[in-house]
Amino acid sequence: MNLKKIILFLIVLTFAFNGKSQNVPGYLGKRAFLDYNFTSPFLTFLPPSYTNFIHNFQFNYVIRRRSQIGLNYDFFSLKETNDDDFSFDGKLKGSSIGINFDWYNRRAIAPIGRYFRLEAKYLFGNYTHTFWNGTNFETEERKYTVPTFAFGLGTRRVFFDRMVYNVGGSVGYAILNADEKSSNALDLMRFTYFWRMHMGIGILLF
Amino acid sequence: MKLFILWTLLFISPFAFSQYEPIQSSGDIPKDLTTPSYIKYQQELENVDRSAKRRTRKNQKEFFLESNYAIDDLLKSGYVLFNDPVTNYVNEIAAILLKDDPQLKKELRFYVVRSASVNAFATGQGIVLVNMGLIAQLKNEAQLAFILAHEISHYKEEHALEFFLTSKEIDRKNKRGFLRRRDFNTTLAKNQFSKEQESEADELGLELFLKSNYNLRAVDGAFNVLQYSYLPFADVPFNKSFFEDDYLIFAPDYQLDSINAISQKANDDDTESTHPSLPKRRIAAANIIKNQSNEGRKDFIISESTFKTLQKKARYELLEYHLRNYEFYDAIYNSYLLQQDFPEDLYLKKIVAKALYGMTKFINARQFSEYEYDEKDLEGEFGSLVYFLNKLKRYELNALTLRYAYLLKNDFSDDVVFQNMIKDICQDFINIHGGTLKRFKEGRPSKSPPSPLTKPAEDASEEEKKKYEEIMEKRKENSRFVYFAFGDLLAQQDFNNLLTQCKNEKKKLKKSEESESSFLNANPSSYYSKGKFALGEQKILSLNPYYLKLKKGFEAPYLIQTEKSQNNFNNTITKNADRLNLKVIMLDAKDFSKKEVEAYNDLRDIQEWFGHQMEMGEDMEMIAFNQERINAIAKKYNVDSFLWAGVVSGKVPKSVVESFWKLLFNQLSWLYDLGSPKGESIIFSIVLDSKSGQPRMATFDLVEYIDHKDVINQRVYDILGQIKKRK
Repeated sequence: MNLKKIILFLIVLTFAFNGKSQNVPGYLGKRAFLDYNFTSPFLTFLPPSYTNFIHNFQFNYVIRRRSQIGLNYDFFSLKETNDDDFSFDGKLKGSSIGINFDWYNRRAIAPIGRYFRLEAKYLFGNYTHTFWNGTNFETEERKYTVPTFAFGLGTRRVFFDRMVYNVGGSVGYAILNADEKSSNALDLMRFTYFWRMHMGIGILLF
Repeated sequence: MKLFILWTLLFISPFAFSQYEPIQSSGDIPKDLTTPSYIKYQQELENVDRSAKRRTRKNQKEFFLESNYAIDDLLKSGYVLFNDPVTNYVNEIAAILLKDDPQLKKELRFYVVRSASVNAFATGQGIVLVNMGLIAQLKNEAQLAFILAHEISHYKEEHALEFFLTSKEIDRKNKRGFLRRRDFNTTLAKNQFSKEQESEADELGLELFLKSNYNLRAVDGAFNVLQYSYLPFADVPFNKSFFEDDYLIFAPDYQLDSINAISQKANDDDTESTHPSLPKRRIAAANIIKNQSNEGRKDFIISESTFKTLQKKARYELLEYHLRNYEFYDAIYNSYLLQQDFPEDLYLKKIVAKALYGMTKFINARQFSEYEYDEKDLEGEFGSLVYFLNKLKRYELNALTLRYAYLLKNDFSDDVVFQNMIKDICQDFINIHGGTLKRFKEGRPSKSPPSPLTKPAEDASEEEKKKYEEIMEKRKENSRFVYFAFGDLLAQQDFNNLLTQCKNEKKKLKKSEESESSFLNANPSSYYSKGKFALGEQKILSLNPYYLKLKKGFEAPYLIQTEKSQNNFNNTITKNADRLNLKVIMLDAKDFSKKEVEAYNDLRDIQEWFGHQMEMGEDMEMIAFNQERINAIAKKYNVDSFLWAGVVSGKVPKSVVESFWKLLFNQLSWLYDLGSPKGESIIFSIVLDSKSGQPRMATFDLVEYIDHKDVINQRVYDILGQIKKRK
């Protein structure tokens, strides 16, 4: 089932569950929401960050008064800039899927308020890089599967009783093998995932 | 002769014994109470003097804003009566005074306030308020007319606005100097100005009064009323026999030998007063009227009997006001005074029972000190009653209260609340003084002194000495009057059943006390709701939802925004209740239409009751004095609980350090904060059981946002959800 079908299905669910809400935690009884987050590394104005955005979709479900769990899906196309005349910009394309657990501070009721997040993802990347090997140009291509963990915090609000807005940041870590640690691709990945901020908009479903 | 007078009074009295009901407002609710305050403010802005300096215009606007909201708070508090016999009478007298000035008559509105204090005042908006306590004290219609004329003059000369502007000017000019000296100087200056205004109101009021046909002697009479306003409306000697009967006799030293005489001389020093001294006012008034003829002038133009009837009503009204304010001594003494004319009036006896009950509850909970009077500070016969009540020891008061209330049991057999009150008194007695119960005897106390007993000699046997001690101890016990308080009741099955029931309850209470813990967490560090309540209600009554928007730093309120937010808050409650299928009946003083006078009266009673429950806190449980009416209201609306919810919100300054770190490490968060005001809100709710007054739910959340719509919506939904949810 591709991503577009998943999103369509969830949108249909929103309207299907638009009846009178029950007495449950959440916002007016609604516990599930879907949002899109635009993620950028910190210090966005410094290269190479300004082109390296990550698009993130999340489905969150409030499980208790101050906590929620979620599934998230990222996709990205990261570029690195080389000053070397003998190599061309490397590109890391890929996606990740993960789960997250958010908990809100004691004065909040999910999903409104400040929250902390623990996230675990599996990152699937395809790195390509063209370089001069002394004789001709060679294109390197390599696949990566990297688990990452992140800790984040943010603030979430609701507008018009349906739209969800959130902003925040996170600090993460990619678990790499010894031989993977020094590659350009993983430098890029690490830099992009290590310390990032996000802003997102979403919709309450049911 | 006495019987004849009593019969006559019975015949002409507008209220039957034991059936007195407090005065209610009726008819259409006046515009003064239904028009939103911000609309009144906007209308008043047209009165700003455009030719005045900018500072003056600003002060005028400030006055119109603050005074409108302050007056409206009083008007919508439930303390103000309209379209009742007393208010209508006051309006009739005002009409006599203003018959030559129809324009002024149109501008002025007169209301009576449900307050025991002896006072009347006029506002800049043309509202004249007369306290019920004043009407209870006056001797005739003419005195009331003079006081109204005085208040009308205040309005006519715009004294309220003038005083406000002058005070501002005085404050501005006295900014220099040491703080204490500055405060003293400004207070003196303001007092001086106020005195000038009062003198002017006396003078112009007299001019208006002179145009009517009222007796000029009423002017001095009115000053007498003001001079003795701190005293009850009559000064009848109190005798302890009021509480005595064949079984309950108090020792002679419970009767005060000599009282403090009522001071005949008014204080001439008005340096620190806002009003000129009474002697000065009398002299000034006498100078004005000395050349006026009093021929043909009357004490009553409308009707003497109407005045007396309504004054009696006012005096009856005071009884509940005193109970409401925990002025138990006043309630008992005033009831005592009224019982001189109506000795068989069960309502008056019920008031005494309620006052004794209240006093007993506070004393048992050791919380009476702030309501206690000292007879040494009092003048007149009232001091005797205070002395008597203060002389009673705790268990003596408990026994007196139980006996007094129990003897009325059959007279109020249909009154469930009164029966519960008797049980509560008995329960308190058993809980606190149950150990002394075995000392209470059947039979009457001996009125004749015992025969003298010779003390055994030093060399008498131990047995003789012991026997002597026993007899003396027994005589000492027998001389304690209180041990015969239940002398007749202990022979009655019903009374014994009641005692047994209370003893059993005491045992149950001991067991449950160990396991119960209060859900009302007063620890400020845990101001957040855990969402654990589940009341299972289908319907609830919401009274006066509260809203307050404060300026930065949580100092002064935004008055207009508060009012508008208040209206939105009511809608928020209603909408969220609909979402949950919970029926909410909204009683909000700011939201009544003119035809809803019944709801207005209901709200008034519930507010007083609610206020009483909040006063009680966790340490005391006491049946409210108007519980019968509350039961009737709850039955009428078919609800078991009342909800009071509210929001207090204010902005706080943003932290520069926090903004800096965000700019450095998370520009998106920084951008978000830039557009988002920082603030804090408190969202609270309290649900009380309508029968017992006990809290069924209390939530208190401190939220780190100003009152954003989503935050308020979510919290209100959460509160109502907990009310709806079943366990």
